[in-house]
Amino acid sequence: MNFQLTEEQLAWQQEVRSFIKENVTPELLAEVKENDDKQPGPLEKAYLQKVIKKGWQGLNWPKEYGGLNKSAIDRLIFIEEMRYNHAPDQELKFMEYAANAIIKKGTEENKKTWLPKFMNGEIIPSMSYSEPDSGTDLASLRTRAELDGDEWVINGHKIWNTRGHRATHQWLAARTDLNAPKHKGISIFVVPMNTPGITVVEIKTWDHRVNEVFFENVLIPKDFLIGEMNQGWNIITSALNTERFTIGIGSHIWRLYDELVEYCNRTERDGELLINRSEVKQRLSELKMEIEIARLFSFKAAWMQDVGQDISSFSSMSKIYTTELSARVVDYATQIFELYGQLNDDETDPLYKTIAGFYRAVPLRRFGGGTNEVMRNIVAQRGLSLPRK
Amino acid sequence: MDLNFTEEQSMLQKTARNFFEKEFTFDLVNEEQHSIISKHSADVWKKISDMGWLGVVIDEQYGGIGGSLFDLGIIYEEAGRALLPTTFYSTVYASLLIEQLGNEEQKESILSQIVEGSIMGTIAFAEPDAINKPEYFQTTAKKLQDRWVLNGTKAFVSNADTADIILVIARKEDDSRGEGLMTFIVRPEDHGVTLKSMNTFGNDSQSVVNFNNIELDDSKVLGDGIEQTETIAQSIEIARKKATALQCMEMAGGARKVLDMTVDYVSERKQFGVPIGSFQAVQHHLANMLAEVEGSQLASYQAIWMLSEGLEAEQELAIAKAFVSETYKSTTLMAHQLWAGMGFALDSGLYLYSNRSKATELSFGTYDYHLKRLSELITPVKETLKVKSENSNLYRNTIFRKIDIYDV
Ligand SMILES: Cc1cc2nc3c(=O)[nH]c(=O)nc-3n(C[C@H](O)[C@H](O)[C@H](O)COP(=O)(O)OP(=O)(O)OC[C@H]3O[C@@H](n4cnc5c(N)ncnc54)[C@H](O)[C@@H]3O)c2cc1C
Repeated sequence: MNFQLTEEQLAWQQEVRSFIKENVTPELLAEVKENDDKQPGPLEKAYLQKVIKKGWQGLNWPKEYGGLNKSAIDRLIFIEEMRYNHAPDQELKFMEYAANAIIKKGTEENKKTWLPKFMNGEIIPSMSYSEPDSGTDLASLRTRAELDGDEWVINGHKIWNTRGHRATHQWLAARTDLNAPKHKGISIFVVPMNTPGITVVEIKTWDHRVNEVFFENVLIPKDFLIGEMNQGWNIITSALNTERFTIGIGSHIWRLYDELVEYCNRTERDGELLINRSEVKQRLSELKMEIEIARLFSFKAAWMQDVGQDISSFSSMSKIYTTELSARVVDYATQIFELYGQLNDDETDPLYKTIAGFYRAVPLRRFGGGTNEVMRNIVAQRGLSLPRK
Repeated sequence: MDLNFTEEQSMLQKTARNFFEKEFTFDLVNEEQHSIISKHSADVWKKISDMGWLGVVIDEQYGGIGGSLFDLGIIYEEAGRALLPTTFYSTVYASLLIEQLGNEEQKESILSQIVEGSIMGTIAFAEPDAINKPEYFQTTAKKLQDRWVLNGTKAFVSNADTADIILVIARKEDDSRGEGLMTFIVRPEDHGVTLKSMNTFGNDSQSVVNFNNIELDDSKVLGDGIEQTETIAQSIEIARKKATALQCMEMAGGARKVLDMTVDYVSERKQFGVPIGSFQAVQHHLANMLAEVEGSQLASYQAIWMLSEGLEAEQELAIAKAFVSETYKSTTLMAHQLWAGMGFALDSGLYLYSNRSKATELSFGTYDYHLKRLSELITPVKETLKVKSENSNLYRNTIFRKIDIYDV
């Protein structure tokens, strides 16, 4: 048993911190915020290239494919630091995710053609999974891909696509066998955005921009299929544990908590320093306790991954716990700010114009990446071996 | 970061589980909890002592194993599953304080007897009007020539009726709050000691103990004649912290057992022709319980591991005790919901855990008590930073640290 980081892990943490300090500047963050619904600006591009050049977008990639082969704990340390400092990582996650899938389930041909492009940042994908009628029941998706000679013909309608307006390619799940059971007739494709027949339409949301993506007789070469035909469901699910584990890393919210404590220590309202209010102390302590539990979950999940244990139940549990706690932390922050808690991008926002954004962003984590209801089913059925109905 | 047990620790865990399961069958525990006589069984006590478990953290020179606090915690976790009679806990607690504070002679005589299983001990700490803070104790000791005269009342003294020695925490009479704490070694048969047992719903033995002009010589002052590196108050605090962490382990084990039992129950019990455990509403309750149980175990492991390594664990211990207190109790209450009628029947034995969870929730500091400690660590910020730097390579130093990217 040991709850400490090793010397190497501490050094790694320090390395990441120095990188962030140097590269995640207020100017970068301002630009990212400004361009969220548009194309990335010059600072963001340069920053992404820097991370990619270091190979940090996929720390667990094996050496044989040019990866750094770092441990899951190292990856956790990295993501914790990045998120703690609000370093942009959405695109990086998509690249990692796609390359992981190719490494695990891709054909030799896929690996030769696509892997380097996903790893070196040439391709920045976004995820075309959800459809209007296929959310939680993703396997019911209806977007079609039919082989016609040497080409796939794609027709369908995807929705809720994050970053679709910035991506170079779609990572697409489509039906390739209408007669097979629903989980057994899905395949994964890489589709360049500049292929004729693709239309991206913005959906304005409460939080960040997402898109509908329409495919109308889109033609792509035969070898743009990833893995084997009709094995798409395996590819999708093989990535889920990592994705859930990653959503369970809540350090951007733990950062908010730290700022809240600082804020309470320096802010006097109605004649009293906020931190001296007993109810404030009580709530902050409660949240601190729960944050500690959430972090222990993340570390345990990473450790389990490193020693080769199945994390399907544990990562789901960690995802549930962190996302529900995050919502409470942010909600309590707005309450501590009292009237200031309703400010949206306002100069007098106590939290550098972020509090409203946090409040709108956290509910998404509870249903994105697998809804918490489904997560609870997994915990019960896999973690506790309860009978399925 | 490594959450593996060593091979020896895994063995210890397995041995403890098997042993407790064999010795404390459900029927036996159930039966004994019904009686209001002591749950102590001389036969089992002998076996526990033969295993060396009464001396896990006691130095080899006093007959102990000289093992780690974490090892002892593993036994506590298993004991919690099995609802071991509380004489084990009170005796180990007393031994921790003797180890911390006693002089050579006292350690030699008392610790070796404890390890052998020939005597049991307990600590008299709480008073009717002061539960956590010794500086408010009213039990006092006055020096009269070469004798100490002890007066006062202690309450909730665990197993005072079976203990051979009671370690009494008292204040020197001329002391004004704090500095002059003393610990006396008292025997229940000493002249002037009276016991009155208290009726608790956990049915464990706790007593009000009255000290009426007890006369004691210096040899009965724990740690008499030696230079202490810590003040007596600090030593008591250290022993209490260890005992608190151990109790967290016991509670984490108990909560896990309740979850296990509940999973078994809902997998067997059928309604509408299917196991009730296949209903989503039931599954989601259990998924929540699992998260709390896992969290409790991790928090308790962390706290006891840190203490075991000699690290400060102020924050971690407060977190563990607060979290596990809520968990153990709420796990039993949710179990009552999921077992419904059957959980109310004494035969199910569920109530034994419900009782124990309440008793443990309320001892060694409640949820509020530990959250208050935690809150003292987050105010003011500068103090927090000081605390943090002490254990600087704990994984947690990524958070709760000074924010250095933005200027505030
Ligand atoms: C901002 C945003 C960004 C997104 N980004 C992407 C993206 O980049 N790519 C992508 O493919 N998708 C994306 N999504 C879609 C997201 O993954 C889905 O919203 C999610 O999978 C849930 O699907 P749904 O919205 O259709 O909800 P539904 O499936 O309709 O679910 C609604 C509710 O019913 C419950 N429910 C459904 N089935 C069950 C069941 N069996 N048992 C118990 N409860 C159940 C759910 O838990 C949920 O609470 C995004 C969504 C948003 C809002």
